[in-house]
Amino acid sequence: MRQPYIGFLLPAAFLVCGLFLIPIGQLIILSFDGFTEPSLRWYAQILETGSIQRILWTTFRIVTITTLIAVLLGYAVAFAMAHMGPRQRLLLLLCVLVPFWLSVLVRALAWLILLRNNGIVNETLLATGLIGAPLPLVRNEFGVIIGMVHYLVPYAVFPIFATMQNMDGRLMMAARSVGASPLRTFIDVYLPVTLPAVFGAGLLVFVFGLGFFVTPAILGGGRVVMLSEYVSISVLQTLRWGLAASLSVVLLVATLALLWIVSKVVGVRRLLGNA
Amino acid sequence: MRKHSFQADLAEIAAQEVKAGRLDRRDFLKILAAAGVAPALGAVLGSDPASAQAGEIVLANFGGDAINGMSEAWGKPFTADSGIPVRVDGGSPLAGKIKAMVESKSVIWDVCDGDGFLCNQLGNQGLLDEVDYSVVDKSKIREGWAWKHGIANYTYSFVLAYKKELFPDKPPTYADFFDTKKYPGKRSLWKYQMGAMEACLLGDGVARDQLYPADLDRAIAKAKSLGDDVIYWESGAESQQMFLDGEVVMGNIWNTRASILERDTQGKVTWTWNDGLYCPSSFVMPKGHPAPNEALQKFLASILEPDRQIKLLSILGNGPTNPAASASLPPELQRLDPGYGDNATVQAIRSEDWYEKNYDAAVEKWIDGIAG
Repeated sequence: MRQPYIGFLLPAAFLVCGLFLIPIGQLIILSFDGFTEPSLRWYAQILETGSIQRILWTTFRIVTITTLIAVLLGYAVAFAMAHMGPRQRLLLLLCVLVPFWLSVLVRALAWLILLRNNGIVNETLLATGLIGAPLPLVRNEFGVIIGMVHYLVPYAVFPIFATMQNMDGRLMMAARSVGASPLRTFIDVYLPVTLPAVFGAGLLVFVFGLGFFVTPAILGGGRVVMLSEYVSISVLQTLRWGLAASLSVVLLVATLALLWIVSKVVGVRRLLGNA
Repeated sequence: MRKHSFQADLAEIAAQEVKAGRLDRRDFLKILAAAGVAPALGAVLGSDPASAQAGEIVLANFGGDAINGMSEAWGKPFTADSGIPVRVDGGSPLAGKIKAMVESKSVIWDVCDGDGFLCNQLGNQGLLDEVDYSVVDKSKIREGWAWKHGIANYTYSFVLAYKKELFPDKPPTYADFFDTKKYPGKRSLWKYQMGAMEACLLGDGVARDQLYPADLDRAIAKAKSLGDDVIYWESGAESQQMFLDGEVVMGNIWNTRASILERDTQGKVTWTWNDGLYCPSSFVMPKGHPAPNEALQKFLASILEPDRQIKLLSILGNGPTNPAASASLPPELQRLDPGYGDNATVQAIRSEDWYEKNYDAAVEKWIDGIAG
């Protein structure tokens, strides 16, 4: 069978190969110390070094917490957006989109100004006498999570919102007509239908979160070092490109594994938007 | 590109000087012109798109104010003497870039700015040309800072900056720095180990002249003892902003930033040279550089002229490496020069030898240690 449209894919395929697959291949080769004397020493170093494992664990922990919060908030926002009047929906859409367009650096600095010890939030709380000493809201892991959730909520909202909007409203009506309570309808009908989108959104947020760099660097006060920052230090500062490459490969493999697991749970077709 | 060195930080000071009206706008445009299109673009591309022209020396540094500063203090006088133009390229000659250029035999820089210990570190890997000390006068360089593969070009320090109101009578020590009960408030240290490690050791009771070989584990333990009371700064601008925003009460920061802070806060934030860390920066010549080697040797000799080093101090706040220059400073510059008289004698001197052998491992271990 002839496929007349295949030609339209060629430029994109060419770009993906040239600018993505080949460099990734080089990265993988670099992580094994090249062809001439291949070795596993960088991977051994990851396994042997407690501090690298701590950084991996910190990354994983922060990203997991961020994903849970972002998806929960995103679900609520998407739900509101899908079921409110068109004018309010436009307004809410703007509220989600405007921060989406701001640079990650600006957002991190804005959170810093709000949350630091002598920032607006702490000063207000101190002035009202609600607290006796400033709350440690930023320059720590807590601050990093706030900043990351704020950045990632829109990424959770849009896939969930798309599914909710395309959902057949008669499903709920049918449930109600046979006597299900609103809560029951939500749990047995609404939630299962939207769940693949929730997983998809969670995956998107999680993968994005793994690569976060600017937000932890600014809001973490230097003590919350996540994987991508560590890779950057290894490339620019300590010139251990092999270690940087092997950490990147670990990250890539972990991401692919995650994609595979979620696709087993949800089904890859539904995950990729056929919900 | 993030600022991973003191040299890189000089770049940032320029724009602020313009904003504050202390640097003439026309001079700033000249800086931009010298940088090619704009400093930011230069930093992204790694270098000026144009490669070295025949008969000129390309001096690579970390951009911004240092382009104008080095061009005024060192480039123009050298051109006037020798007829050889000097072009300053703010392309950030990090060690990794020098290595990549030399190994791929596509060197576009003749002279590169970097930390002093890089002379031996890169030189021992066969990446640099040697200095010809029959042309360069060794006696014009502070003892120990004339290396086989490079010479000290200017100096800087990590100093203890503090809020004056907290210490009205006498400046704090590093023991006070770590005494968060007596002096509540946050402190800041550089994220990338240098200066911070020394501050921790001094605060833990190590004597100034006993810092090296450094006990990194001891320093990390001391840094961690600050708990939530420490914020690690990344760029020089950030270290300055933390004081302006009242986020920190004390900090181990670069002397160039400390003097700007003192000026901008009318002395509410000031600094002490006591227990500072006095460091040399250097010029090196990557192997395979385009300009003829004799011209570079003459250029290196020329940067040691006292009047040119003093000019650099007045523009950039970096100290001379020629002791004769420090000795003949006008009074208003004496307080600013890390190497002047008592400023130098109360400081520790960074061991280039230790950093040459240990920096890469140390910064890695330090980051690992302070993280989480």
